Amino acid sequence: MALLTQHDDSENHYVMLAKLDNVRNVSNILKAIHFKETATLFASSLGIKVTVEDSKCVQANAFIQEGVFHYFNVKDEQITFKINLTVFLECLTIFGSTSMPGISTSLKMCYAGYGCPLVLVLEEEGVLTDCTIKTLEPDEVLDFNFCSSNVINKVIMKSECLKEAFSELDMTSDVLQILMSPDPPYFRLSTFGNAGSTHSDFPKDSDMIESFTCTQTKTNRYKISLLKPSVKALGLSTRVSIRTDNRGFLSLQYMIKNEDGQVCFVEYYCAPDEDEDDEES
Amino acid sequence: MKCVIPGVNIKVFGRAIHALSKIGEELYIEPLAHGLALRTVNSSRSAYACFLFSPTFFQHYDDGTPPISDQDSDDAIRCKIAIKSCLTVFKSMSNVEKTVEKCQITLNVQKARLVFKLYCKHGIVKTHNLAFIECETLQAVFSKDMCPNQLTAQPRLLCDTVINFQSNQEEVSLIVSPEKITFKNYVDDEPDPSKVVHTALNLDPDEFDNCQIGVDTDITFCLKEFRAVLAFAEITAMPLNIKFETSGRPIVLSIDADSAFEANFVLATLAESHSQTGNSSNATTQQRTASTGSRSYASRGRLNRGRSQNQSNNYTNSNHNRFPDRNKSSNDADLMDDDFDDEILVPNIARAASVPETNTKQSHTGKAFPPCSSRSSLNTSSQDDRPSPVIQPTLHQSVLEDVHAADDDEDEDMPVPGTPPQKKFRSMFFGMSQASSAVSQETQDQNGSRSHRQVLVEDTDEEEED
Amino acid sequence: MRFRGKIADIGCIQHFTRIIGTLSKLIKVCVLRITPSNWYFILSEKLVSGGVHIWCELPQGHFFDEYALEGVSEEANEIFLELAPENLTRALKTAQNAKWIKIKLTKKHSPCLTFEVDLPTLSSHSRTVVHDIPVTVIPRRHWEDYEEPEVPQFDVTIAMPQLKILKNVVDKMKNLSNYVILSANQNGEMKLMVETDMVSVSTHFRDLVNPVNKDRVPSSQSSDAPEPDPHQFAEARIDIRKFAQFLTGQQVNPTKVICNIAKKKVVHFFLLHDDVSLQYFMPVVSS
Repeated sequence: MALLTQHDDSENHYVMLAKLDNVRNVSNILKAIHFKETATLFASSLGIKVTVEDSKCVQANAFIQEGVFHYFNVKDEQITFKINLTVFLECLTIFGSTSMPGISTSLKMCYAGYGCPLVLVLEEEGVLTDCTIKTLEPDEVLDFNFCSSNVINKVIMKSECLKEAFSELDMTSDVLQILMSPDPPYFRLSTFGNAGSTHSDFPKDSDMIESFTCTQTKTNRYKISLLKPSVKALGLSTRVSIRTDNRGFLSLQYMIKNEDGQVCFVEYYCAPDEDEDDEES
Repeated sequence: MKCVIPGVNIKVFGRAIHALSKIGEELYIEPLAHGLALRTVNSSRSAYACFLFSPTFFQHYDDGTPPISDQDSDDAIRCKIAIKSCLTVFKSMSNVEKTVEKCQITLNVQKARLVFKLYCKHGIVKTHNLAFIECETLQAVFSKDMCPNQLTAQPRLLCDTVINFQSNQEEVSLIVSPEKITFKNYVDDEPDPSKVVHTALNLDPDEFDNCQIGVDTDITFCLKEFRAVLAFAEITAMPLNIKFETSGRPIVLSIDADSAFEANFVLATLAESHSQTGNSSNATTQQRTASTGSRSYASRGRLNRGRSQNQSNNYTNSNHNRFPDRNKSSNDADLMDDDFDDEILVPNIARAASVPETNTKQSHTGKAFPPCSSRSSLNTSSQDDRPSPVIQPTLHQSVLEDVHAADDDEDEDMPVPGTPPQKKFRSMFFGMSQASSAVSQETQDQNGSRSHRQVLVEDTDEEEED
Repeated sequence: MRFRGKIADIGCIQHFTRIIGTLSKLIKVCVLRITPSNWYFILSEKLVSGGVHIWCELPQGHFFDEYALEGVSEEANEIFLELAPENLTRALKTAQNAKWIKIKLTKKHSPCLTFEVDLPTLSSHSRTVVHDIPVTVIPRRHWEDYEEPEVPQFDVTIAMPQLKILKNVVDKMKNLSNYVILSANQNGEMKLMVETDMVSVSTHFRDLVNPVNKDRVPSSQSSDAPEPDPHQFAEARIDIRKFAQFLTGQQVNPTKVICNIAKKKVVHFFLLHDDVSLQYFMPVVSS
């Protein structure tokens, strides 16, 4: 452990250098957005953002702010590279996926600049693992242009009650339909699968709902296969905010408490399904 | 139809759906005045389950019949639905038990939807609109009361028993006598019974709440289905009643929760007459001859019973079990006797593989005979002639077909050697093997009035119709 | 040929079950050799491709309260049986609270190893379950195929780090590559390394013990080669899946695990727990 807290001169050439005592504070968040092989990593003095996209319709972002690390230094204004997220996660969890009480694994992340690999050094109980992962040319990430001023409906609720609904979604349905309204049923999730239709209604006065601001009755449909992966983030989070804007774009923001009690955020953006049909079957 | 299940009973209802899903693929729903009936049957017609939830099981129960009883309104409220659809409502029982406060079930005839509305904690409401199709009733007729063999056991006893069998074990044999109840894994003759582990467990009659054995017998039935029944019985924590007769006749498992609900599971048992040799007619003669002699054989002292039981066990398990020169140590003897019993001489092993099969039948039939019955257990026609205590065959026409077929060609009723076990389970509802059931279906269809899928008929009066 | 044994101590039954459980995770079929003093479970490389060789030795006195053996003949007082350890594991599944288990060689429909388990019951009734496990008797003329493997000269002998950590690391590494390079030196260090186009991962263990191994030829007796540098690593490239299988299957916490490396030839793992030993030989795969 002493090895990693010291900052020796050989580390000066790194463009990004980050150290923390509990690697799970990074790996757990990243697992919440792991629905594709590759991800794009952005680093700035504020922290790290990792982005995963699918089909140009859904985007997930995980934010790990610099306060989560006990040492964080990024030399350039912004560093960007693409990396194989599956491999990255295997390395971060090299000492095992589950946590053992009292045992923590420390992490040091180093990046020397464009074209260089991402180097990880992990240590647990005196055993050292170093990983050298190739970095790739970053692709452009989508800008969903989702801003608060265009938000029509917003619900903030405890994640607990949504977890069950999301994990039991009827995957034989193509879409997940979300209805938000100032009138009953207020907030409704619907699927239309082989067996029939299923609706989950959450009344606005439920003790699971912390905040309910719905101005118009709107129904939007999203491809269920794109939203299903968000159940991982939901599972880790304590609260979730669900917002739709005037275009029908969906923003899901998950508040996740890491093992040291620090709060990190994961957000999902999803474009509405093109063959939108407001009729409920 | 509209009913509401209170929170406390959701567990039983949900688990009932799970149990039904392990038996058949379609759920037949029939709201009756005396309760809601849920039934299913498997595709080979060798397993049937029926749950009847009485009005007291519900917080509110309305079977949907108008106040003025109208015979024609019957047709509107019988439906069937894919069980998989219902399972989505009760997918995660642990979640359901924790969060659902009440469940409302409504039959929406106009939209052909069965609607489940789960009222959960925190004001959350989950609605499932499941498509159904109208159908005729599914009903098996079976009489439990006339079965000579009855066991009542706490589910725990039976769960502790079946856990000793491999989870992929298909069938289990239950061998009973007044002194002992034995469960064994059933080993098919194909591919190679000598490569399979044979497991046997004995239970003492005192371990059962009730144990009445009128006929020593050896029956084989589907373990997977039995496990599904036990899984349901366990959560009710109520005793399981088991009623059966002899091989070929169905076994009936039931739970009676007084006024709340009743569950009945009827499983076919393996018919004893599965032939290994092509020489079936010869075998039949042998069997018939054997019957008279063996009845007295069966009633002799304990040692003989043990021996013949062993022989019949071996027969049931595999014809390859038999060595012509083997006359000592049965499975039972191994358990009781601590001395060296079986000596293996290396050269003999090669020889043992080719075993003559002809003498198996005689010893077997000795065991299967109920002392009081005058019928020959292997003559398939006779069992249809007398009033059967168990499942009646479908239409009387097909019964007659059976009888003729059986008389002319008994051998053909015996399943082809080497067929997979399921085919050997006589279809309970037709009283004959799978192959000939197709024939009777056609017969049914030809008689226009009976073209719908009515599985069984109770009225023997209808014999006038043909 | 006769065999009859009884294990009546619950601790022995559970330990026995764990050993058989470990074996059934490693191999589908193996040979059981019964001698007056030991039970051996053997997987011979001659029979199985992939070259893994297993030799597990149980001193029977550790387990059996009653033990009676009549081998094939007086001079050859042993029995060799071929069986599937998974069948034994299944038979022992409900034996974990049993009062006793009896194991007998029997001839039912064919040669069997019969396991009888006296199950616990709430009532005063005893309840036994009997499992007849089919076995194949191996004739005397084939016995030489199942001898204890020759141990080659090793370059390095080292005590393994905690199997749990090794298992976790190898489990992850197996998702990255099919082969891992296992290396160790006489200075208490061991390394695991996988390398692909995308990533290279290496895990280093330090402060391990190098026990004295009589099979390691001391340099003074070998040819004119100088004393090898203790810091020098001996490498062995092995199949990662088989290695992971070996680590994952361990149900017994061994008191001693030794790893011997004969570079370019074989890796030998020797586990010891309470006098029960398991040897696992893995061939080195060339790159």
